[in-house]
Amino acid sequence: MSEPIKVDVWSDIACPWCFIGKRKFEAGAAEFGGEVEVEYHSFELSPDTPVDFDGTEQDYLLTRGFPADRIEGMLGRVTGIAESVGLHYDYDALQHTNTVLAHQLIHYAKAHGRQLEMTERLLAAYFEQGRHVGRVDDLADLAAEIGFDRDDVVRSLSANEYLDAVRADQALAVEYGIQGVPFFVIDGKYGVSGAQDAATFANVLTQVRDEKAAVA
Amino acid sequence: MSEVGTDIPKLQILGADDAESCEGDFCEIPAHHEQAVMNRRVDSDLI
Repeated sequence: MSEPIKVDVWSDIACPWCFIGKRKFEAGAAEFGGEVEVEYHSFELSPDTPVDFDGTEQDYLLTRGFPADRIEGMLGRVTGIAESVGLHYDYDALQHTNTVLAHQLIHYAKAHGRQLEMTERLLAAYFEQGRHVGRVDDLADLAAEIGFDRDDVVRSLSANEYLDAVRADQALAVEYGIQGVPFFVIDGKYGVSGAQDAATFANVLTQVRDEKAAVA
Repeated sequence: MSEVGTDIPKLQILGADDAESCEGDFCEIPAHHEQAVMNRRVDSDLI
């Protein structure tokens, strides 16, 4: 039996293409059919965002200088693309926030062997359910919903237990030259940037499997 | 195919080069989804 293909994914919770790309990658991995080991890594797109941003996503975009007359149309297009992969983005409910604690929670979950489940929960909470993903208590609630010990999560996040791990991921992203997310590093040697079509992911995974078989 | 990275093994970049992604505070929808900008990069040159 061959070893699984390792896929390292850099992404942010507050990244619409990361959730869409996650779905497309999952579809590509299913099409590939072989065993894949996925590990998520932290990437903060907007580390200066306040935890308690007072306003809607539209308000946030206005603060970033986006033309007001284009915001609704643009969010509508993103929402439509999300729908095409089975995701139901709700920008009216979305609560913009800083994601560094959410990244720490993903590392906490990784240490407990449940990183993928926590990542999925956070992305859905942020984009589909209007949940806040920037505060300790809100994050602890989300973690408890998938079975983690809420008090221990509060302890960990309050102590910034995994902040160094977040920073290490970010440093590795710099070393790889990663400037945008989602970014997929496959078998440590191929880079795939963005929310590519499922077929692209399937093709890369197949290529890696064939190469491994050729040298085995 | 291009390469990135310095001190660690260089990556061979595969896939379409216009796939949707976010960079900094800036996300975009490539041309095949109608060119659009989601978050404008925090860049003093643009403000």
